[in-house]
Amino acid sequence: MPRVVSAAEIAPTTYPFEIHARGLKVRAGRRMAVDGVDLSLTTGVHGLLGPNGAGKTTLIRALATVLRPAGGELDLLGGASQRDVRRRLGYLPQDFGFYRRFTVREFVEYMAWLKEMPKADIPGAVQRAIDRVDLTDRADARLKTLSGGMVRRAGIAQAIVNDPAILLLDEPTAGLDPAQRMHFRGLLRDMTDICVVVSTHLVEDVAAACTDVVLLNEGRVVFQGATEALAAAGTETDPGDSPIERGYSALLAKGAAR
Amino acid sequence: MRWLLLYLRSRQVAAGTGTALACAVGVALLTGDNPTRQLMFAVLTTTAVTAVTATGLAGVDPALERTAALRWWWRRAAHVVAIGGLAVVLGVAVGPPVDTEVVVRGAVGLAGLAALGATVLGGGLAWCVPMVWTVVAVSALLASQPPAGPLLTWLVQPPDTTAATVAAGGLGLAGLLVYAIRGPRVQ
Amino acid sequence: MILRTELRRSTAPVAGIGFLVVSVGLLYSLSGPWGKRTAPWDEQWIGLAQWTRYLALFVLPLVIGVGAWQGLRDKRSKVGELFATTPVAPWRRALPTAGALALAVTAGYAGLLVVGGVQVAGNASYFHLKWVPVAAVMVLALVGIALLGMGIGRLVPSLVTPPVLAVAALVAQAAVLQTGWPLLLTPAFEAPDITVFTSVATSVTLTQALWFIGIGATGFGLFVASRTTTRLTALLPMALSALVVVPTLSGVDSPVVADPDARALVCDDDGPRVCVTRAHADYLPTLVGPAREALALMGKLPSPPTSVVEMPSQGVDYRPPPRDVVPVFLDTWSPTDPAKIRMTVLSGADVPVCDEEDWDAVTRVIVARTVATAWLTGELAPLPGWQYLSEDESTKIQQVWQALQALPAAEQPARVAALRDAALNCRGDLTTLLGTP
Repeated sequence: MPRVVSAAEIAPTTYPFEIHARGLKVRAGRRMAVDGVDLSLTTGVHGLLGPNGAGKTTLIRALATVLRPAGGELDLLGGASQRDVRRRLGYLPQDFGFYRRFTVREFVEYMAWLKEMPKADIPGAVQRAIDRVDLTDRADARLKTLSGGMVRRAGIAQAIVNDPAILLLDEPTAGLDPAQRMHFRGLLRDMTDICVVVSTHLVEDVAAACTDVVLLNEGRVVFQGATEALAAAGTETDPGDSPIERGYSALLAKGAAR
Repeated sequence: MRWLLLYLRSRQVAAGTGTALACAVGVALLTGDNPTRQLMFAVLTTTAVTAVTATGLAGVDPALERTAALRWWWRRAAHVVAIGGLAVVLGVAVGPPVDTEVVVRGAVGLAGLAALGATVLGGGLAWCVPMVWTVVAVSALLASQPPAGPLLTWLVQPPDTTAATVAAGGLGLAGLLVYAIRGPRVQ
Repeated sequence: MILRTELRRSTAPVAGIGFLVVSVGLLYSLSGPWGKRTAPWDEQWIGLAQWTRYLALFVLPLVIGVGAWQGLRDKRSKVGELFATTPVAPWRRALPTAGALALAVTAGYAGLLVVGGVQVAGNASYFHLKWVPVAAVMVLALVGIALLGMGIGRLVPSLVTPPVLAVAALVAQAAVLQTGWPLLLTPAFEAPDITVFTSVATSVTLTQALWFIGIGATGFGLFVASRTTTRLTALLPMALSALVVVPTLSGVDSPVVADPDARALVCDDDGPRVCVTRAHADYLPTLVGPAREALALMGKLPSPPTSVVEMPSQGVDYRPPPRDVVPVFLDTWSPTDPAKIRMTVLSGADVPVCDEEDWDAVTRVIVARTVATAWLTGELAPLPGWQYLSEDESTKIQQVWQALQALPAAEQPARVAALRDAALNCRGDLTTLLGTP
């Protein structure tokens, strides 16, 4: 279903980076989970990798304006106001909470309303989002009747419903079966003019869909570069079943040794 | 013993019992001398205790608990009996001075209703069933003394009313059995 | 759009329909005070408004419990993190949820009013609009309490909150019954305050409206607030309205005032005057015939009464009417059988006894009235409402009746008039009149 594109959307942006962080520090509980991160991300699909407790989720939360930075600077969309950023933000948390009695369509509509989309645009946008995640046949089923993977896809739908400029997905493929994951990768590949950050443990997803990778360990960026560079960083001796995994282990070991 | 402690923690029994005790004391403080009022507040004490502790009849994940290998039915039954027992103890110790039979009858019936509520509506909403019944009974009590329709208003009938005792016992037993066999509703 | 979703998917439908079902169920399954007295809920407009508020006594705990359950929703669904990333302000976000619940309970109450109103429209002849503000205050109370439940549910998001709130509301409501002015802080009325001859004082209505608006505003504020400072600010509306409401209501003697329109007399003057109050205007045709027959029978008395007039109340402030008026009370029953009506008018059946505490005095009054009526009708019959007499009383009645008939015919009317005066109007000494102690 085609939609009308407004002039504001196709106007060139006035800022170089959608996400620009300098020395970012974010607290999670008592720990400084993100400890001095420099990040400049523009449009494209960026993977966020790292071991558990590396600060990935905290970083994503800070980018999603859920957490306030404890230090450093963070500019989203060229320093736009928080309200403007949130209007153009799409976020799928790791613990995706939802209203169980709502149907998929109703929940995505609700999220669209919460993101202050113009009322007239909401039904069309909701239908498009549901179609893109392939939930059209279950659009009017209550969320509590859906399997975990479908709920996750509904979460992706609510994240993309407002055609965001920044899309933050924390573990988006958890619970998805292989076919759905391939569909999701195709979805990501279509998003060429959005800044997408995908935090995941599944390196194959990163390999297949992401243009570049940020590797986080203990709150610091260990590696940032193209996916191929990550793969090239590993040798046969490093643990792992694929080039990406070997590169991942190699860089982590190097970072730990430092 | 360890299992019992873990079970009590999983069902937040300490918080529930503490709240029930506080409610019982609060109700008792407001009673006064009028015998109708005393009967009403005794009933409200029992309702408070059973409604508040009914939240512990279902754990956080009933589906997970269903997969356990141990036999649940007698443990669930024991839980319901414990709720009834707590209501009797608090009603007699802290509640207004009414006939013990009234307290016991109310505790049995309301505990059964709470268990029924947990099976039909789940742990969070189990309180609705004893609450609705209490509301009907208190309305009847304020309308006429003794209230009409002893089968419906068994909560506030005078002691030694056979129909009321039968009704309370029946509801208590029914709730106990249904909850012991089926367990709380899986959301 | 979102409002429609919330109306279907939140606790709103349960609250609204549950309220209606429980209320109608209570009204029909129990024969409570709402079906009796001068203003039953299905027969008079003011009775409809006030008795449905009396009923809320018992439905409010369920409303606040359901409201608390609604307030728990966000915490239980764990949507906090996701919603924190949205630009919409928390109060805007809360509006559809709160609005849906408010609409639902209002619709439930409106449904109850329709169920009663349809019957009142068929039964009542006294139509006025004074009951509308009374019902409106109930709407404010329901919405306010539901919002308060939501607010407390959000403030203390534990599973224990709904049952605790529900029980607390029921206990509080039961505790303030029969304690005077604290009952005015709830929407309920005491049963004696609900008559067709009174309506709720405007000052009380306005003050209660302010009180419940304050409660609702606090509830909504608590539902929306997340920081301690904003939560404390949310308590302000309730505190401020309490500052105004509590002093005002604590000075109120009674929440009802006399309704002059209801008490205005409607009379039939084609013959000896027979009057009823406007509230019971449709009873006049039934009353006229037998009342005039009774007046004719009373013509045997010296200075007989000349009119029959309905008196609004037989309560504490009853004053015996002037000698030429026969009072009639349509408070608790209005018979249709002409013979019964005649007996009632003749014997002064509903006229209050002068001193209700002293059983001997009551016996004397009953004896005097029975004998006097017997002389007027010509046969000794029990008074309406006093069919079961003890042997002692029956013997006494026989004694006095014989004594009266033994008197010379010229003295009998005066004696009967004196008996009636003492027994009905409390003027005179019954002990000497009856002869024996």
